[in-house]
Amino acid sequence: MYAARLQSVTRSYQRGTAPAVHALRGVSFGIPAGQYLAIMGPSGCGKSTLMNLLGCLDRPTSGTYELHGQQVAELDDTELSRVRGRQIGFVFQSFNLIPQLTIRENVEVPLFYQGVPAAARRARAEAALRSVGLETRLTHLPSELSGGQMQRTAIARAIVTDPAILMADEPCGNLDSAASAGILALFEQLHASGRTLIMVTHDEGIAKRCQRVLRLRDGRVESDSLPGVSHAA
Amino acid sequence: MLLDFFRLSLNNLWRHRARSLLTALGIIIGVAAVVCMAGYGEGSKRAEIASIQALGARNILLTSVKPPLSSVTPDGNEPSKASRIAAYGLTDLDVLRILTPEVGPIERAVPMQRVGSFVYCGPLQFPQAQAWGTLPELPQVTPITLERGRFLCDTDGRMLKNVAVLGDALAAQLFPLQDPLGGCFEIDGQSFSVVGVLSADSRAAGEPTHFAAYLPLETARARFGRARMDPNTDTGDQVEVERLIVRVPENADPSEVTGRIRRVVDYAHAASKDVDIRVPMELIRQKEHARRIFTVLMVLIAGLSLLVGGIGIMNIMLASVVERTREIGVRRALGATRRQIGAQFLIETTTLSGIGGVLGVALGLLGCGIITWLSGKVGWLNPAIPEPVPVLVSFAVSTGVGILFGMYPALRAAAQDPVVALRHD
Ligand SMILES: Nc1ncnc2c1ncn2[C@@H]1O[C@H](COP(=O)(O)OP(=O)(O)O)[C@@H](O)[C@H]1O
Ligand SMILES: [Mg+2]
Repeated sequence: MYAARLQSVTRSYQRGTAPAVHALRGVSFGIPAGQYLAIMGPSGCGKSTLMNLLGCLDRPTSGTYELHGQQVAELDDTELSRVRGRQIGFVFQSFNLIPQLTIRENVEVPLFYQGVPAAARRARAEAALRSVGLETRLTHLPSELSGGQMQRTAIARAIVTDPAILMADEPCGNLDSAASAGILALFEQLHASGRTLIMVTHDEGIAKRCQRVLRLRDGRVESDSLPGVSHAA
Repeated sequence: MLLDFFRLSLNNLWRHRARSLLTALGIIIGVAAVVCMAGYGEGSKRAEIASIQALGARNILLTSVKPPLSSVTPDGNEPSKASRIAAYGLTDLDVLRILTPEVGPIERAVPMQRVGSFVYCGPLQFPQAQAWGTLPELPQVTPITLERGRFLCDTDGRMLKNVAVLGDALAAQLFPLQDPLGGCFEIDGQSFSVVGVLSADSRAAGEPTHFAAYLPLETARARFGRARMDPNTDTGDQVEVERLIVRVPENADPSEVTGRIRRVVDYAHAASKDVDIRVPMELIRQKEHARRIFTVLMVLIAGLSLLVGGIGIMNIMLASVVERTREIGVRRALGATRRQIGAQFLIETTTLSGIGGVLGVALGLLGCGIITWLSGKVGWLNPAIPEPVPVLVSFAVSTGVGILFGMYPALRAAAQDPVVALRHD
């Protein structure tokens, strides 16, 4: 069963009278539930555009996208917001924590929009932060943390709603190798617990540890390989 | 959920408290101004009504006034004494006509007649003193109370006794060292003995009685005649009835009785216009009317200042939407709907203006307190009395302004595209 499936998806950007930019020129592939997928490719090839479509932040110009059996094109803006909040967890390259909120408040944000009561929000945020090893930093502000810790917070925020799919756009792009290793270990652990994981990366070493590597070039799928072994032991 | 948004707003506003305060400053000052103005208006109204009520709400005051032309003396020749005396005003006949049953109902009518020019005690003259001839019923139509002794009585008049009741300040000036009761003083060479002293808060026809001396009307007429000479210009006034205080019964409408009195008086005085008729009740109504106009003006000005405050808030909130674009993108990615983003900004603006309203009310109440305190120190200021209705209305309006002017920034925030917002830096 596919967690997500794209068929002939294109995405063009049209601004004013300038010629349209074709970021995606017809992409088709499916992601089985529970897969650990890496997306690679040179800068500007459409990786982020693809991630935005997969994450329901954006809609394809043409083609169909099916998420957990649901046609995304049929959903209105409010329903798309619900899907993002409940089925998908986002991790960004630049962390995107809200600077004026404490670590715990940041992790509570997705629960807030689901109408979870304050006490339950707090408990679930603390549990998520404990699972990424930040239980001692609850009341710190993001600016008081290292890059690795900020990305752990972002991961806690992504998993606090217990989503089926985790999406990470270059999650280690702003981190040193030690911090990256910690984050990757966390991802592998999350994958092992049954989640579908989609990650954009430039690092061949990281890609090798994934179950599948999708390479893009100029808005098309250049190669789709299964390097083999799953390390979900 | 609403409560959560409210708490989130409070959190956000508190994090930028200096900026929040400055943003709400327009609203704060606007509301404070409204509260102060409304309070001062109310205080002034009460002071006015109190002073009008001192005239007596059931009273009608008739005053003889000198017509402007009669003050001019004939040209050239040395004028005779008679031509230097201006005769005008209410006559005894007028009073009799007023007191007929067709005009009534009238509970009581008390005349007051100014008499005499010079008040002496031994060798000392008291220029501030003013002697009046009146009836023993004066305290029943005007708030006069006795500090000591008694007021005039019927016998005083019938026997043409030379007795007087003094205002508090005059009594103290005339008799600084001795008991004023039984003391003697002179009015234009006539000796009078004091039988009573009035309290300091007494008022006759709205005026304080501090320097008044009240004599029996009959005595006054017998001793001083009808004409009263001005010692400086050597001109005089001849007035039969200088003032008449008419009191209507409790169940009667002073305005109706006034209408009939006016007709009677106009019969003889329409041309000369030498009688002024004042009705405190009507004055109170006029003040009410003037106050309503003042209130409308005040609301307009207040509305304008709140409008300016609202535009200030909208401006800052628009800047805040731009500044927090990325945050909006993140929240949208984490599941916030457009509605939720819009609601957050709208509630934040409303909370800000609501808090501004509360602070404005507090500042306004403080202002009222200061004005009231000052009014106790200086005479020309009235106290400011904040009434609950204008206070609540100005608070409600400030909150409404927040909702109104929060709408546009909220729509702008809600309209952000999540992908574009996430790229924003
Ligand atoms: N909002 C946009 N408007 C116009 N062009 C865009 C927009 N977003 C991306 N693009 C263009 O689409 C192409 C793919 O961008 P992106 O998906 O960000 O690439 P990657 O993440 O692989 O570096 C680029 O040429 C980029 O300039
Ligand atoms: Mg990118």
